[in-house]
Amino acid sequence: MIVVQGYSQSYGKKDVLQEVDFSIERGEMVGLIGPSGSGKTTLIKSLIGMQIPTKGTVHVFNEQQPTLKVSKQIGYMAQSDALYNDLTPRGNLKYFGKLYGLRKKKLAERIEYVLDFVDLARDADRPIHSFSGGMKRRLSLAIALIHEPQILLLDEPTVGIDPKLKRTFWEEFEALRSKGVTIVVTTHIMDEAERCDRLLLIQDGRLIDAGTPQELTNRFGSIENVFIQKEGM
Amino acid sequence: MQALVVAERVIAQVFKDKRTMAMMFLAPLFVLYLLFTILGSSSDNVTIGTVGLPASFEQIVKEETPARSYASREAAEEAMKELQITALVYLENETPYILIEGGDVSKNAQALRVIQSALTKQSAEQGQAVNKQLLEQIKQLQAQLGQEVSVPAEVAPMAVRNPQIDFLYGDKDAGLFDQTAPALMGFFIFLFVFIISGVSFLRERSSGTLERTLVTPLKRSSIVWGYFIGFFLFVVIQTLLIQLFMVNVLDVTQSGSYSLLLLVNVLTASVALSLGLLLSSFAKSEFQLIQFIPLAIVPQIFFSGIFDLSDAPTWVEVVNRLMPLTYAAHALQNIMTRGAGIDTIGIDLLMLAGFIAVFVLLNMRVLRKERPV
Repeated sequence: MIVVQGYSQSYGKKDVLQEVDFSIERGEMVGLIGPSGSGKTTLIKSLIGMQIPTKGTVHVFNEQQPTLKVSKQIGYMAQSDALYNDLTPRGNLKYFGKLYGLRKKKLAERIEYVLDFVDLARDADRPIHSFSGGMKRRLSLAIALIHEPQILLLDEPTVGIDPKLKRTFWEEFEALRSKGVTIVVTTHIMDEAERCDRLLLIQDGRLIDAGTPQELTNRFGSIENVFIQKEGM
Repeated sequence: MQALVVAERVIAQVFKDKRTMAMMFLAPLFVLYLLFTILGSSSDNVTIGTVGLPASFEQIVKEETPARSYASREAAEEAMKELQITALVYLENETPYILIEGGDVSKNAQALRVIQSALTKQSAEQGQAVNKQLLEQIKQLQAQLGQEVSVPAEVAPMAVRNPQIDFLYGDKDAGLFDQTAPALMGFFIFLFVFIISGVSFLRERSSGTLERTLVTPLKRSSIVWGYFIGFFLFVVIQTLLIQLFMVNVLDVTQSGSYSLLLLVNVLTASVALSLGLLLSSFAKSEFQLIQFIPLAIVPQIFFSGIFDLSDAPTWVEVVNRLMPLTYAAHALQNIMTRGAGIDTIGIDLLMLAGFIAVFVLLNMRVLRKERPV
């Protein structure tokens, strides 16, 4: 489903990612774990096709990124909420739905579905500037889901939201996974990492280890220890 | 098709933002009205002082502007220091002397013009009076002699008649505002469209909505065209409002075709729109975008035909040709004051279209940084 081979990314002279190799199967929930500045967001951006790899290849659905061919299969939620505050939640969903090619009945159905999914149905026509941070985050997730993507890329989806909403979010991610959606999520919170099927550990632009949370805990004592031990090497 | 989706959203956003709408539609009218009032009120407000001049002179001056006579030069100069009079005329050894206050360029010129025309008029009247006397004496001589005396033609008082002045374009009521108004109309359309389009595109960048839009299957060009179509509606309304306001309310001379004027204005606005989108990608914040205004926008007003550049150095001429407003102002002025048609301003239209094409292409190139396909 996702195959990354020998992928390096540099901006000018700065090497952000070096020689990254991994693949992700359909229906997996994969966590990208690493300290801030380690290259997680850059990796996510290459998976959506927002940049040309300096070296190596990134394939999604057997198509080499960057390409517009797979855009319809990918849902993306960035660190910022990226909402049009002048429009209502429904207006935002309508706009992005249309850009993904959804029309009339299908569009209306999807809007109702995702609004319900993130529990914003009652606030769909309220102005966004009256929304709390958590509500904006939920709307942002709803937009990422509007076109029924097969792959969901989430960049720090739970930063700055309260523990209760965080739990709801993860329940929602798990519900999506059970429907066969492949999820790639970046985080540096360990209890979130433990809920993933598999973890890719990134440090200083390199993939330093990978495995299930259980395997990594067995080998190093805890996931955090992986970074501490590797740092010393 | 996708461009229309973007356009629809841009329109919805502007409609929701009442202040932006007001800024687009009312701000240019307000500023133009202000300028109209200022330019209209300054020029003919001079008072002229006289010392020891014939009452007939004062009478002639008073036909045009207020005049005061003073008993002595000292008293008049005192009045000038208190800014009660702009110029002073006095006689010394039968020669008229003019003293100008000098603090206000437009008033200086106005005072000089009034005094000189009054002096000419008076000498003309004196000349006519002398002529009349001569003719009278000739007639008396004829009567005394009882025979015809031929009078050479040169004696007939032709040179002292006041000339009749006509204008090829416009009329004598055309003031500074009429002359600068077409260029200013272009400038304000340009400025306001630039600010609004630049800021809204910048907000897309900084809020992340541009990134989110770019991860959809949307083509890069559709974003740019979407903005074009979306703003087109507002630009046409804005342009029509400004046009109607200037011609019907401010009574600016408009001798050309209305639709041609609209075409030039819409093209001008489109240049501003594409430049706004382009420059917004080189700004990190609204603050930085506003910093482009004194650099990229304000200098254009110097080149827009308000000032005469015929004697300017070559490099100024080169800069002049690189500024979109040069062409907009040239076209607008020719349409409004000279009633020019497409044959005169065709080249201006082509240049404006060229600017749009270049800016749009650059825009798409810049968006390539955000998404390579």
